[in-house]
Amino acid sequence: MYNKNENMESYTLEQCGSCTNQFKRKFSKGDFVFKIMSKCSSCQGQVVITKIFADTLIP
Amino acid sequence: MDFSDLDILDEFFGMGDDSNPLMMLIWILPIILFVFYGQRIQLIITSGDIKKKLVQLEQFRNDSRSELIEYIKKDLGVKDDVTQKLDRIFDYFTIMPIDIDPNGIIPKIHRLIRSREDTTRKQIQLLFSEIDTMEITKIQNLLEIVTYLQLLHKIVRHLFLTAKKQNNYPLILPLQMMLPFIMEQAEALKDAIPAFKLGQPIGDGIGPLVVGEMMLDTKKQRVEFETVYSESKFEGRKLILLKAEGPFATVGRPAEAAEFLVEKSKPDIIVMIDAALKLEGEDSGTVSQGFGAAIGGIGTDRFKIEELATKFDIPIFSIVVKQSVKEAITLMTKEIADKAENVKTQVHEMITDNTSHGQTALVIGVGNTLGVSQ
Repeated sequence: MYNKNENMESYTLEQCGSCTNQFKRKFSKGDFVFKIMSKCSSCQGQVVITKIFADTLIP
Repeated sequence: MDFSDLDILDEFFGMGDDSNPLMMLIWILPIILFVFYGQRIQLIITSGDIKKKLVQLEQFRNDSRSELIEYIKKDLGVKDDVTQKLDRIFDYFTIMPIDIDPNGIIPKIHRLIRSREDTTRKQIQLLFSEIDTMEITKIQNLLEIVTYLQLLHKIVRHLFLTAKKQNNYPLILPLQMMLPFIMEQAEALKDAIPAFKLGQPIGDGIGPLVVGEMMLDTKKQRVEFETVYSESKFEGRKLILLKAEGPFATVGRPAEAAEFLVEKSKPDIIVMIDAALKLEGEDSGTVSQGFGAAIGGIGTDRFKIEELATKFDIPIFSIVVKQSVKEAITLMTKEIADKAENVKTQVHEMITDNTSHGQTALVIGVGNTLGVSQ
């Protein structure tokens, strides 16, 4: 039987507060929502983790 | 060969004669068997299925116990043997207050639960020479998972063995009916362990996620144990935002905090955001609005908030995000996380629709704020 959970992976979504650019990556230990990350590479705005969620695995 | 002359069949099975004793025996024997031993046969068949589930439950309990012990030893570097101490904690029980006279039972339950929480927390702290709040709350939640799985296993085993011992089929029926629901909960609990170990947000954290976002760039103040609040403005209304202190694995103390904030600021409405169990057929992540205090748990927090609302005549509005038991306690799914913006818009609409300029709204993000800061 197909099990949906077998293909699930945890992801972290980072977003720049200024240019609203989003970057999705695999979750790494220590991540939490609203954690302040580095500066945005394109506009030097503040990047913050906005979401951590389970999603289907990207092949 | 001529088959028309086979009288042997007739002789033995009485094909042409209904009064043949052998044929009668073949019919009567099963009837007698089922009349006298029908329930025992059903008991044997049902027992096989329950036994399999019982083995599975025991496996869940053992795995979760081992994972917690390993986490404490390997990840948190505890060198002493904590197994014995942990096993004692897994076996903690709570004796509910006597309810023959239910008057005044809520404060008793409330005190009992808090006392259990405080004692468990102290026991965890004693296991380590140094430990931060994040790890304490994570271990506290993991302990609850193991304790609950152990309790489920013990109860199912007790009911099963009692029915078997007494050869009592009707006694096993309620267990057989409840088992799929028990297994659903047990599987959800087992699957919740990785999220708690890694400190990831769970489905139940949708309320704190929405309120946490509304609290960004505001001055956060601790109002109660593991509970924070802040104030902000929205279209001329004053917002008091309340949630458990993240990113810890805690639900905080929303009722006590609400008591303080209502006495202090006299809000005109209370808006509560929480996760709610979906009905079968409902889609995960469905957002619904309603009335009354949206808060789970044993009921003491809901009681306190309802008492407050009645005393100060404050309407309570709720917004819930529907999800399954498993989704509520495992890593938040994308479907649920994506609803945060929608819920925030609905909260704002609710506030503008039900208050006027200069009025105050208390917004409470209910749920476990694991992995969600503010």
